[in-house]
Amino acid sequence: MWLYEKKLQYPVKVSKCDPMMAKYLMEQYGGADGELSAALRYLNQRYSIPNEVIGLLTDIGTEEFSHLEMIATMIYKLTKDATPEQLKAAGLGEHYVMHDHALYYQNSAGDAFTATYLQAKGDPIADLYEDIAAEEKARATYQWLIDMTDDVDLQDGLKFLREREIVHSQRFREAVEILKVERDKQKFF
Amino acid sequence: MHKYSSYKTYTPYISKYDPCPPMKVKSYSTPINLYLGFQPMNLPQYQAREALQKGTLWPALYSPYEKVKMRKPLFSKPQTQPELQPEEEEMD
Amino acid sequence: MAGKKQEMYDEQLLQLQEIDFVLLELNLYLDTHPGDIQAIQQYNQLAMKRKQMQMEFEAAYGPLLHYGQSYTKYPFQWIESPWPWQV
Repeated sequence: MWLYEKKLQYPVKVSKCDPMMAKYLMEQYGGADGELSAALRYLNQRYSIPNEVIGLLTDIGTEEFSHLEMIATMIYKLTKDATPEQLKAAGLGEHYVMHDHALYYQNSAGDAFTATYLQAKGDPIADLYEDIAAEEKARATYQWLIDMTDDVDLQDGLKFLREREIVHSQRFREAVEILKVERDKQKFF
Repeated sequence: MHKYSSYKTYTPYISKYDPCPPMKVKSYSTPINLYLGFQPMNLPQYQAREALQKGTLWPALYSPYEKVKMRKPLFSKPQTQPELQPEEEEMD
Repeated sequence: MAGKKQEMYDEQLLQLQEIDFVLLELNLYLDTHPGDIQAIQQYNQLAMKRKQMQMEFEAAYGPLLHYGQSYTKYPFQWIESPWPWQV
């Protein structure tokens, strides 16, 4: 089971009313390499992976939900008091018609989240390489998002999230190292 | 010990028929996880406040991104090298 | 919340976020380095300190956890604003 903790992992600050940036940030909310994808990908893979890496998938998958909450907070704050006219000007007119100010799991182009973003081959190396690639793609997305805003406070949160992708990728790379050693010889050491 | 840089640069081919002013140098990130291998034990740690602010507990894993316009080509003349120092980390 | 109270809340929340982040980083590290005894000692020490900080924070600002993992005053404090994304 999971527990909810009533705090963000990292303080999210947004200093500029910028609904267009909210639209871009949806890439990390409901996009292919976004935080929802990441959380669901890892937490789903852990049922069919050797015991040594179940803990890692559980812990990183859980952390991704706290990143999802950070992205949601950014989008919420960037759109909270925006008028329909402002949303329209930001390319969120269709979003307003369908969802008002509600958040929705979709990418920056408005495509709804789909389970096809997730892979689970059941082959531990294939799945971990998938996870490493997902982290690198999310890292790149955060770079392009940082490029798209001059709000220093928003950049600060995005830089934190980008660094987390690097650490996660590092841990997944270590998981591959753990799984590739000669398992049957290990017990004689 | 070897040095690593957190990004690399390359020069795309420029055609006189390209309609936009050319980006002469392009760059891409090469974060620390490409070089570190299995993290060694007992690496130095940040204090808690700095760790949260940086997004990692270990200076050896910190691999920041600079906005494109702030980046300098790595292969340009030696006098640009000192500016690149903060980008470089020493590691085992 | 405003003024001094907001500042106090921000600072105490930040301290909690800091120690929790160190614990999370150590957790992921230990997932792939389960035999690092020094990291385990650091993890356990910080976990103890974290429990203390959680009690102090909750006494001042209300429960961090639900489902009986935090105490509550009357009336039920869990449902009180602000929620994390509202702060």
